[in-house]
Amino acid sequence: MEMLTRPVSGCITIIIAAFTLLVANGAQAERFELGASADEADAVIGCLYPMTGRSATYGRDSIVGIQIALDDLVAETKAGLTPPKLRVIADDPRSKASYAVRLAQDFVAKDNARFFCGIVSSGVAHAVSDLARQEKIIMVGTDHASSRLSIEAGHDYYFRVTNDSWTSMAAGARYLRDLQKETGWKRLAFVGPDYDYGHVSWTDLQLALDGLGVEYETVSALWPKLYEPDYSIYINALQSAKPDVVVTALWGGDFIAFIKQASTTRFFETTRLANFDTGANYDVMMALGDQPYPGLILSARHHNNWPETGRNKRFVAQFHDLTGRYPTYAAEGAYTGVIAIARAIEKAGDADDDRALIKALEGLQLALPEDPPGFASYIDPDTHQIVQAQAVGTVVHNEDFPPSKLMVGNWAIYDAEDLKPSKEMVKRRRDAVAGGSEAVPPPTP
Amino acid sequence: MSGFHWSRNQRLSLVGRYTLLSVGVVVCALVALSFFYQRFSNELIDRLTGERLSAQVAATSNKLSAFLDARIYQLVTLSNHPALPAFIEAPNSPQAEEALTLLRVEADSPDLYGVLFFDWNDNLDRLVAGQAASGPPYWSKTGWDIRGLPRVEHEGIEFIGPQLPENGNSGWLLMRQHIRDTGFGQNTSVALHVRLSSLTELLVSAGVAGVIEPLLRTPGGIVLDPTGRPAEVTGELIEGPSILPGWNIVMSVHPGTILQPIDQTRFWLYVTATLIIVVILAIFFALSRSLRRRVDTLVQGAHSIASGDLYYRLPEGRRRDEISTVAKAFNTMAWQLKDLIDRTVRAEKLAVLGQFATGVAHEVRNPLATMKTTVQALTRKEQDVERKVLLDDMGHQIDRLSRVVNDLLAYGRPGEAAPQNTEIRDLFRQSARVLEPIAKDANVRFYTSGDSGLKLYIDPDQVLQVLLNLGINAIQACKAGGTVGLRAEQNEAWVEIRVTDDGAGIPKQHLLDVVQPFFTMKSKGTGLGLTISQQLVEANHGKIHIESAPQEGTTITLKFPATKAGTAQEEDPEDVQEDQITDRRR
Repeated sequence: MEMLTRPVSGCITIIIAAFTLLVANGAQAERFELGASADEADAVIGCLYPMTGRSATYGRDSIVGIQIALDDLVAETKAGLTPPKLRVIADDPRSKASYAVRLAQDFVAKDNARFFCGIVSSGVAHAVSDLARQEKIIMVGTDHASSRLSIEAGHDYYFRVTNDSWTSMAAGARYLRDLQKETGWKRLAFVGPDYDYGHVSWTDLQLALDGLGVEYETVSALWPKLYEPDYSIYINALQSAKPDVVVTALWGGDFIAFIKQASTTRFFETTRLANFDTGANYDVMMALGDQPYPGLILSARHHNNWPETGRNKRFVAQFHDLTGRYPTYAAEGAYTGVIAIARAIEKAGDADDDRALIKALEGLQLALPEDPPGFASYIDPDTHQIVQAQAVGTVVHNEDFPPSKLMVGNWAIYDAEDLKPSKEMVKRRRDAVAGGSEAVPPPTP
Repeated sequence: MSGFHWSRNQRLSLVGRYTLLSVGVVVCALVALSFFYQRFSNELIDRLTGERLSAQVAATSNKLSAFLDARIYQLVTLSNHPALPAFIEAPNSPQAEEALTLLRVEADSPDLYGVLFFDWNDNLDRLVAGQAASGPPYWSKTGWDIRGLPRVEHEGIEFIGPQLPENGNSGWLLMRQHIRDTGFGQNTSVALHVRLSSLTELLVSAGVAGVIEPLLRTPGGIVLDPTGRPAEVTGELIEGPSILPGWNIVMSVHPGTILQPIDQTRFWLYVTATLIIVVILAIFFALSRSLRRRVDTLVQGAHSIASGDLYYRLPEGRRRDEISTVAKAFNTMAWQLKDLIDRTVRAEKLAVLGQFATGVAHEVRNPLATMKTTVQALTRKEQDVERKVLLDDMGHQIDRLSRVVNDLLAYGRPGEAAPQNTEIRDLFRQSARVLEPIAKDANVRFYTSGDSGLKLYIDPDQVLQVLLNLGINAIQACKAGGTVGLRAEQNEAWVEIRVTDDGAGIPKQHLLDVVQPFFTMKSKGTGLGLTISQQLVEANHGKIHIESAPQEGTTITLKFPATKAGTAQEEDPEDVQEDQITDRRR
């Protein structure tokens, strides 16, 4: 695709063209090229986002988030600042590690990518993270959340700038602790997708609950596969286990499908359903229609209606101006990824010096739309995981973001520092796998 | 009371029979319903566990076998791939790169966690993680050991496992085969790390929710549910087809799941039916008591009438039911019976009195005439004033006796009515001619009013006599300044003539007596005027009705049939009855 010299208008053209293609042929993956031309660019970022299937919304919104970040950088240039010129290439790994690795290799070989970004699925992100380490390409992850990527499998070249499963589950554990004081719940069940993210989320939740001294009984742990078409046997199994609270790590279309199937049973009459990592996403709010099922406890990595800061309102408005709709959290994640890379290059002063870039990213502070007043996110130098606050709430009627008639409200806010994994826990987890998976003969020869 | 005992002593009253009939119907319906219910539940179980289930189990077995066949095909393709030995022996060769690409694509299947390679001693040599990989051996070798897992052989493939889900990890099984020997002498095997739930999820189509749960028995004897977790087998297990040696489908049948609600429903059906019977019995018992009480009242009324208490009336109540209708009919009957008896008694009384009066009159009238003539002669010749006065008084008394005798004769021999069309104005005019002077003398105002053009079908002389009798009575009842009026009105097929006065009125207790012969409230009356008037009115097919209140006045209403030109007069049944009475009297 020929690059356009006027980045903003050109990229909008590309987005519209790409959306048209997506609408015309939803199963056809499409490559996006945004920002500066190859000749002008200070750095090339290769991003991988799903553009098809149940999680296509994440890819589409991420592209818009990237565009907003690029627009902001152009605006800074016009204002007399000197942010780096970035070229962003995005493609669809179709939620497969093999696809993703191949596309990432091509980003490096053919597009001279200096950074990887994105990747919604943790399973896919693991494979790309391994590649990043081998190829010495800095990977700035957004939206995949398995805490293993930053703790057990963390390495110098891997960074993540959206909340991970630990952060979400640490916030969720606090919410459940407080809920237990109100309701006295005891029986806990978990249902998560049968891949890295689901299992790590469950481990993180248990560790967080144990760390808080919450007493509970695990009555069931179920693992439907990613993109499971029928959750009925899992819903039946959950109902048979009679849990007080079900925590789920199902996300995107899977979570929506689960809710829709569960709503046809008496599930919500007897059980609270909590999704602390992705459940409050805007596409879920739309899918709920006007049915605020009782017992839903939700959070996400970014909310359109929290925090009510000028930065967040501006971001949501920018997204709405570009697309005519409201963003899912993926947009802010992708926005953060591009901004983080830009700020790191600025700070390092050289887009080709890996060590300087890594050093710049470690501890990098970013004022982001999701930051509550008085706090700025920062990247933890040890885990390379961004440290952020999180808000958990329940579903309330709110038609400020149509067509959704519901949004999350009744917020419980948890400070970023409280949600950060302790150094002891990080060390313990890393030590536990020493001689483990990473010691297995390398998966790639 | 005998009537009360009569109803209570019924061994099986009507109400009791209806009660038994209703209970019998409910019981029969219940028995029939129970029969069909039992039959339905038996058929339901037969169908659920019968032929249809067998077909479903066979289809499910095919699905599981097809799943395994696809994995077998996948594994055989990998194990025989020409580039695979190079992947083991020469990792950096182009063939190894080619094999790795293939392995990554195969490992990304949603039903696999990855592709594993083992050395000759079952030690994990290397692996290719798929998108769904998690837990051991991808995260850690800790706890990874396949040596203790069950193993079966099928079509040259070694099936190892299942490894059950535990500690937050998913369950799996390995399908392993040695890679093709290309002369390098390697002794390496390749295995698909298969997601156990992908196999067990296929079981779900064979089940019947809550009743028949399809399960998968594995070589270790452990039975898995559709989510791939060990199942707690509580019901009967029906063996199904085998999909691998040692792996077979079993059906856990819980007939209680469906029978229990059926039994519960049946139990509540019986309870409800019993309650209905109890309620029916209670309702019928209450109805029976109420009905008996009301029937007893009827019987009591009948006995009272039979005992001669013709004034006994049954309470009719506000209900409009059968008993109320019977009570009304009973009261009507009592009224009619009393009326009939009254009429009969009066007719017989009149007949006797008439005969007596006629006899007396005949015997008295002639001597009176002689006495009158004699007194008149004596009076004419008498010069002494005092004696003349005494003779005049005697003459007046003889006249009075003559009037009484005439009344007696009129009463005893009422003349036949000769009805003809008569205008009311003629009647009123003639009446006024007589009554006006009398009223004037008594200082009483007299008037006639109403529709003077009305016509009646009556004997004008008799009705005129009636009007004169009533008019004179009315004038005499009035004080000076009082008012007496005659008014005529049409009322459907009848003409009503009202004789009204504002005189002394008749006490309530005498209202029924004033038509009795020889009853009078006047000092000089014979007590026959009203009786004769009633006779004459009835002789003209009329009716007489007296309303009066003491010190307010009296209204006597006469009803006569109106004239219908060219048509015969329709006869009121009551008139017919009166005619019959009259005939008997005659």
